[in-house]
Amino acid sequence: MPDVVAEAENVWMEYKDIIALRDVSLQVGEGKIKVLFGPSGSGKSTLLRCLAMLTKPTRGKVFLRGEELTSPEADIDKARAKIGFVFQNILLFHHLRALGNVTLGLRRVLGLPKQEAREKAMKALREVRMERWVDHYPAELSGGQQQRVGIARALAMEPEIILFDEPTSSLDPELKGEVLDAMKDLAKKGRTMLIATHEMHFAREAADEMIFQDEGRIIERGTPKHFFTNPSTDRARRFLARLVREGQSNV
Amino acid sequence: MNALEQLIFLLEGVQITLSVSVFAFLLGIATGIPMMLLRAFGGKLWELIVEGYEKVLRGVPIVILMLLFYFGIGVRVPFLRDPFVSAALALGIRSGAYQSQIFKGAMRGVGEDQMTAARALGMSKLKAFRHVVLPQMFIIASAGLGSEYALIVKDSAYAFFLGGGLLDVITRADILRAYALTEHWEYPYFAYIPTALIYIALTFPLATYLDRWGSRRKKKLGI
Amino acid sequence: MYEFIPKYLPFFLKGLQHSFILALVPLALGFLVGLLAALADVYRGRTASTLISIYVEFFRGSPLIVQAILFYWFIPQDLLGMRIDRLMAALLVFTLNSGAYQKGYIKGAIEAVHEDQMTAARALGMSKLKAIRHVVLPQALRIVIPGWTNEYASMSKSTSAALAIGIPELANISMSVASWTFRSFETYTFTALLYFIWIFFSVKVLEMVYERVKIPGFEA
Ligand SMILES: Nc1ncnc2c1ncn2[C@@H]1O[C@H](COP(=O)(O)OP(=O)(O)O)[C@@H](O)[C@H]1O
Ligand SMILES: [Mg+2]
Repeated sequence: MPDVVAEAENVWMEYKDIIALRDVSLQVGEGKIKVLFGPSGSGKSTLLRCLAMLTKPTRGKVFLRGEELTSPEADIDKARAKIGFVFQNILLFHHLRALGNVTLGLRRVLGLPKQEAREKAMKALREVRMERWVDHYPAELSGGQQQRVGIARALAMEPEIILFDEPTSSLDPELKGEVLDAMKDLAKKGRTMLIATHEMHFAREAADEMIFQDEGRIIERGTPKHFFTNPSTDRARRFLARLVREGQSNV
Repeated sequence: MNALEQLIFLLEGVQITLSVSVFAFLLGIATGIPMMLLRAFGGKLWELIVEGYEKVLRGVPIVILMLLFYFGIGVRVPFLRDPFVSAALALGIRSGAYQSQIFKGAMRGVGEDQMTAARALGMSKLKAFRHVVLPQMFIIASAGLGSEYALIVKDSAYAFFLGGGLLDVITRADILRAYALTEHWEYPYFAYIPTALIYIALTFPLATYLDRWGSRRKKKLGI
Repeated sequence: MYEFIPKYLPFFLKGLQHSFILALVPLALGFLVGLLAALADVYRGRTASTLISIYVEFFRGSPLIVQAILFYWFIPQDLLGMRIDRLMAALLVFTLNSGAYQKGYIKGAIEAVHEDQMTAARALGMSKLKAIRHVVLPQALRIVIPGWTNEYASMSKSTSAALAIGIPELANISMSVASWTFRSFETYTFTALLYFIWIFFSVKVLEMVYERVKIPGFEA
């Protein structure tokens, strides 16, 4: 077992009339790429948000590098600085150019001097091939470009792990590719990532492990090869069949 | 006068404050909607004229307008020599300039599609406006109209500077103050506290109600 | 007809100068008051919101003249037994009044910045305060500028409420000139013109500022 970076231990998330997570446990090891799979409403976003402590689980524990984030003494802001988060609806800061979006955290959270922040940001933007768009405001970029800036924003902080919440599902089909390519590049470089996505092709190529979630529970996990060719639960099989039917993937 | 008599004396001014305000508000609607329509449909020239007129009215303090009507024009036009008339006219004409703006925004909010749909039913432009666009406009405009009404009520207090002939709430407060001074009371200006509260009572509930009502209706009707 | 105006022009200009001070200082200070009130209303608890809404409703719901009288006579003289400077009283009450209005504009703008922007900032590890300062406010303050332009125009006209406590601002001067010359029509039309020019040009300037700080595609 390699070093565990992020961990959820018996996590529950109970809303007023719905239980979004039921006793979910999960570990993501150094350099691993795990893909969260499951129908909409199954609790993928909730799990990712709990891991980043953007919402606090109602029960259970969350760890980053062995430090319990759910404990009252934990410095959550400091932990979040070490966790990258890429949002489904992108959420760039409207008032800042691409470069400003990436430098903001470096300057205001990590406190880097301007020049150093700029260099780091440029490096991250180059990694997602957005170096030519640094002076554009979010509204002047396509959805795919925006999401690549979103990835760079997370990446530049040199996080221990990056959490992706369906990073391509708000994008037009022809724009998904550029974002998935950027993510594949990161995968090749050995980044630790936990990705909620329905992109089967991407998952098969990049994932070390598939985690299938349904109704707030993890009900199946395994290698992509095994999961896609011979899923062991009925529900996973039905879900996969539906995805293929609906052509939601770009296989 | 004891405290209760003073309060009643103040409250008797409400009737006058409200008469001035309601008259002005209605005059504002009566001039605001035509001005908005002229601006929207009257062609370039009318647009310029109306816009200039509105800009001027919105760029001058209401007290100056009142003084101009009462003292400036009133010299030649005797019927303006009544503080009620001058105050209400000044407030109403200025309100027209604001309401024209409010209705312009509301019409944009209703959108052209509604007009098109009504025309498609065979309605004339006027009928479509009257029966389809206008009712929706009032819903969208309700919050704005509510604060416009509140503004009129508060600004009606400026009529005080026409010389005290109008026995509205603030003028009565001033009378009470003078009375308190002659009686050597300890807090001669106290009357202005209930005065402030009376104005708040005249403005706040209605404006808030219209605001809430408007957003509820808008939500319900999906406007 | 207006031949007497040049003779009184120095008075008018002095009055305009007073009005100018009575508009600008409260506008700037009222911004601080409004900003703090808006932040407290949005990000603090119930009690803060209740207190703030009492403050706001008082200043928005009653005539500025009445407020000026309360702050120049009733509170200092009747209650505290002291005299305060007229100008100070006016600046104070105008500041509080403008703050109440600006609070509304700023709060609306803060709420127009979607909650998600806060989430994204928190996800980067920013504290709430930092997120407000570097993400929410820069957007909110841009949204607020048009509302602020309105407040400026309205504040400029409201300076005439200082009539109630006898500060020699433009409205006050024009009443004096009218009573000296018995030429009300000319005096008040000329005064109206001065106000109009003043407000028209300063609104233009604010609109230019707005154009300059505008961000492509960002309009809420
Ligand atoms: N803030 C919330 N309040 C109440 N219910 C919520 C909230 N967030 C999510 N849920 C519910 O939790 C369940 C899981 O949602 P989510 O984690 O978004 O699923 P997924 O990302 O897999 O689509 C859904 O039924 C959703 O309606
Ligand atoms: Mg989701």
